[in-house]
Amino acid sequence: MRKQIISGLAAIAALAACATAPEPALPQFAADVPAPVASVDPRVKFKDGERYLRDLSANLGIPREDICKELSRYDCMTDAFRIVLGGVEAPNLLVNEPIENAALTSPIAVDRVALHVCSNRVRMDREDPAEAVLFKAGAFGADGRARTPDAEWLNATADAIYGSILMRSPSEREIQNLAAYYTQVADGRAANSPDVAADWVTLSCFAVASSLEAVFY
Amino acid sequence: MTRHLSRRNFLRTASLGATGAFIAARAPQDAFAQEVMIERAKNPRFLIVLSSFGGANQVDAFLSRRESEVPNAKTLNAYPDDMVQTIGEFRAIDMKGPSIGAIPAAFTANQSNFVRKHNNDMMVVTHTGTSVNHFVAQQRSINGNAAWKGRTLQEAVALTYGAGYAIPNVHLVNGTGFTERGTDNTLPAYVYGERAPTPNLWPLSLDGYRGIAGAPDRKLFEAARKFRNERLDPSSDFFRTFSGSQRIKHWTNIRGDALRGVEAEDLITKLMLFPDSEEMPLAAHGLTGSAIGQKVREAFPNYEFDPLEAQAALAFMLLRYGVSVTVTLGPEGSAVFKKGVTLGEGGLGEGDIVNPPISFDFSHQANRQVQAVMWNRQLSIAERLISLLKSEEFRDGQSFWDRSMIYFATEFGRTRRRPDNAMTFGSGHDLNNGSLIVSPLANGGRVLGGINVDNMLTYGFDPTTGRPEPGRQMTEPEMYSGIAHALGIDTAGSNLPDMRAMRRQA
Amino acid sequence: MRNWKPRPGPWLTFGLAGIALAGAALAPGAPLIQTASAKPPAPMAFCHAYPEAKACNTGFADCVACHTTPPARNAFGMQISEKLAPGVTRPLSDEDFLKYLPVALKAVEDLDADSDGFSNIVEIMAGTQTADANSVPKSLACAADDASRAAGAQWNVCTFDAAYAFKKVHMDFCGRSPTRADMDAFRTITDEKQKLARISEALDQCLDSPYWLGPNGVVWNIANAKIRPAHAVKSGANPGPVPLGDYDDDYNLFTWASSDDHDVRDLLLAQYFVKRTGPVTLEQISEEELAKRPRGTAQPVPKDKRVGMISTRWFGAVNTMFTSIPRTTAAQAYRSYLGFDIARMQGLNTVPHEPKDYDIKGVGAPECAVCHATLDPLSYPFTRYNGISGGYSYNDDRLKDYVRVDGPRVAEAPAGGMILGEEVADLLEWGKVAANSDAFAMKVTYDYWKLLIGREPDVNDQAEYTRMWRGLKSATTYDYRVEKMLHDLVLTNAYGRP
Repeated sequence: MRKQIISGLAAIAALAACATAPEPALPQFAADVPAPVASVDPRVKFKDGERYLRDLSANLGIPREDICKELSRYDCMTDAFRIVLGGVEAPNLLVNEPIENAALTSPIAVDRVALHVCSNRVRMDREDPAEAVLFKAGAFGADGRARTPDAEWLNATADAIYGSILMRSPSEREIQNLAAYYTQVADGRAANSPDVAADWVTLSCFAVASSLEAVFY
Repeated sequence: MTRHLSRRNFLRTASLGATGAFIAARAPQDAFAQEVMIERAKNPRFLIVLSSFGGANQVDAFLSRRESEVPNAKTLNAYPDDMVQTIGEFRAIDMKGPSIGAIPAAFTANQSNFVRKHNNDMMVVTHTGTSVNHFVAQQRSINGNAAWKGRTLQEAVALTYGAGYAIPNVHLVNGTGFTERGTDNTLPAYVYGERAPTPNLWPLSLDGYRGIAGAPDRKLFEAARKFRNERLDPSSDFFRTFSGSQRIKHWTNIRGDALRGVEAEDLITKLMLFPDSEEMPLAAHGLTGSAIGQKVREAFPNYEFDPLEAQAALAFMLLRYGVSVTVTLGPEGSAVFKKGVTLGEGGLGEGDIVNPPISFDFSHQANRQVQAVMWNRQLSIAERLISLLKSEEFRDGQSFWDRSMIYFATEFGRTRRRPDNAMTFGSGHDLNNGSLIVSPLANGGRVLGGINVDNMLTYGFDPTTGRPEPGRQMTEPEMYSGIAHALGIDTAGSNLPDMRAMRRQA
Repeated sequence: MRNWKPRPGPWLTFGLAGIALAGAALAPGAPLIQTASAKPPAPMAFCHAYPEAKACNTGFADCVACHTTPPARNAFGMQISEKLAPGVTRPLSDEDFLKYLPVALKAVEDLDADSDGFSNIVEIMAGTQTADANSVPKSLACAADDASRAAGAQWNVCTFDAAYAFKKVHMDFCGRSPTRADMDAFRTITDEKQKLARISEALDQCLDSPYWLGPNGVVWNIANAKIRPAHAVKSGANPGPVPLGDYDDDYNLFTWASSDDHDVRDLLLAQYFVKRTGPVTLEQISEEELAKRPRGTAQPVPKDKRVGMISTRWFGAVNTMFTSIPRTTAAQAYRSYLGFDIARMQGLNTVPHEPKDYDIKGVGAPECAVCHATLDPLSYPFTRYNGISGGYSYNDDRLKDYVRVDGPRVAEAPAGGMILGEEVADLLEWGKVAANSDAFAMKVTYDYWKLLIGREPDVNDQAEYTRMWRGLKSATTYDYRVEKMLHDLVLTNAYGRP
């Protein structure tokens, strides 16, 4: 596993010196963990927008009333997407129960919320590194010069993302996935750019926050 | 025709832009099905269900009768002679009043203007329903009481014409059975109604990226989605454990091609009814209002506070921009007042109450006044929708209206008895009624069926000729069938009767 | 709602069958009818014969147990038909049908209507379709090697997974996930009993959370479909433009009866009202305080005539409104608290010589009487309780005010009626019969089951679901305490097995 992470990082390092580089293929990992047994009677439920945002608020350190606002003023859940995110509104909309089947716009709304939240968090982290939750210094040396994110930083960031959103540590496979994803995010830009790193953190946060495990339970 | 896809099929769907993309995604392996969908998408019919919550009574509108025509007029709902106008085959009631039953709100209501203007496209069909329960009867008004495998009229239209549309079937009204999903679970997912509960903010849910401050580049965002959908989720233990869940299957299905198709249409702009303002700071978030927004807002100037006007505005935009082939809108249970007005001492001014509580069902308290106010409201909405649809060309000189139908779906009628000579009285639910349909596709200018003046109950008609048949009651499946066939829907194998009389005569 | 997955056509065909009773022709192309008579008592009769069958968790079977589109029968229905009252003239009266049905059912138990290898009785008890070869009983047991693999995985899908249940309890009752520290700490517990105790502890805390008990909380929202609020006509705090009644009283009473050590039957028995004193605290309102309320929020029904949720001002305002014989009110009560939706022909219990149609609404017509023979006698006890007209009060002579509109016979409608086959003298007795019925316990359990498990009870949930609702009724088990029932519900496999 260690060899695979190093080879992935080697690719990242190579990109640091290049203005553009061909997109590397994602490495194939050997099956190192037995596949889980599939449930014969899965009864997962949708985590409605309010609980989704409360969890993110608690774990990402953003007050609930500030965590997600459309057009900078309408709460994503209570004002904008309440019904399609599984809420009810009986007295005015006469919606007494959550919708039985997800609407076409439900995953779009989840994506918006996740992107709002993750973009906010990373922006706050960059503005106040001392209070950072996801995007922490470490990829960048004490002398302020950017350097290519190393395994330690990638692991720690992956752990922060999974820990904040799914409240668990990522598996080795999951760390490898995120680490390899870095090259995609770099997309021809210098891998040691803080903007690339910030984008990677934002989009990794987004991907995990809008994943099935984050949205269902 | 072969069912296997060929290069020709790919080129054909590719040449049709978004329409082709939707069709290709919805019938990926079946060339024949794709061809059928393409032909139908090129010649759609549009169904607008203008639901009339609470019992829109024909006897208080287009089938009204004068007291001089009704033997027991003093105890039946016949109107003073000078209140009933005859316009072609239709009647019309214009009314003014100082109050709506116990609500001290003056009103003026007009039906005749609409009838005069749209006579040739109006058709009233009599029928008798099977439930006096609001919710159940609302459902039956759109599913014909399970007439065709339980699918609703909206689903039937979406199935027939909607394969090439982003969101073929949209529900704008909340909390009624008019938008209840049908019971035919074999239909493709895109056919079922999509809710749009709040017209001002709903367009934001049509794009996962735009308007979000500080987000990485869109291209990277799309790559992140791909990473999540193709790598992160499929390899997760959560997915591998719970992938058998119907909820998860549905979710992964709709966040694929369907989502991409919707976003590609820039609906977040096209359907943005509200302009840039302090309350809706679109420009500051990289968004703009719809190119036809001003035109629509002028037609429905109360869109900001009147939910029905907002729904109607969005309904037109959905049709005009080729997003949907069927929309369902209508008044809900809440009272609607003119902006800034509330119930206080001294009563309300003329027109201050736009929609009484529980809409037509407030007829329990004051039948005639409520029917007048609500019919006026519904006709006003319909009139403006028709004007907008007429103003927009669909193709080759044909307007959108030429292909549209407005179906004033309602649960039931109201009881016909009244206390001796009362002008203000309450009414209950009555299975016996009729429906108003306005469409160039319908047998316009006609009343199909009649009224028995001895009891003010409607009676039916010959389904082929339209000749009145006293003693016959038309059923929910017959109404369903007539509407479906007028819309050109092929119901072969359904055993639905041919209601020729309901279609525009050749 | 239970068994409410509507199938194409059954309700239409029941209506048509009703017309057939009067000799009218069926619509062209309708399925071949073997005997043209609707038998609304059949679902309940089936469950008298098989009370333990999965289909009978609701108290009544679905029509599709025996029919395609009623009255056309499926293969199982045909088998029963062949054994049913041989030689007796068709159509059978309801009395004969009910008399001979149990024997016919017994006679076909060992047959296999759909030839799927499982006998009819096995399928009835398992809850699968006797006439559908694709519907077969299945086992949820894991193979031995799967069981050991699952034990080491993040989710143990082969048994009750305490960590999974622990997280779900937080999500469902507290409205948030447990913290990472809490999850990590939970995972260090090795003793199973301690795990369960920890789950119970978490549940106790969450049952006092605003998410669960607060305004617009979970319990509150369970009541939405029963109370049917409409802000436009709300009085009291945050009133609407046309204030008629304050549904906060109803929500508070519902929350009270569904929480703490309170008897949930008070939903239909309470003669008090409840106010909210904090985000999660409620207390009963004294009669003195209630009497001081302004007109807009008064509860005019006198204390000794109150019947929990079904005699409140709000309930009368939105259901009875201006009606003499408030059928909508009775139907809403029946649906909300017993789970029977008459509009979908559930819970029909035909009363002989009904409906009397006291208010001349034409409900005696055959196609209407199918339902109204149950609904009208169900409604009579509500006729002394005013809606909007009459000021939400109780009045023994109320119906005299409707003679002008509904005719002289309306004043003859009795105060007594019938519910679940029992005669009742008034609405108080109606409430008692309802509250003590199996249907009530099933409905209460069903509401929480659907919310917490995520679906209606199905084939494999039968044993646990039955244990829950029976336990609710039992004085030695949950004794009508919802929270006690919930403590056991979260320990079921339905809840805790991934």
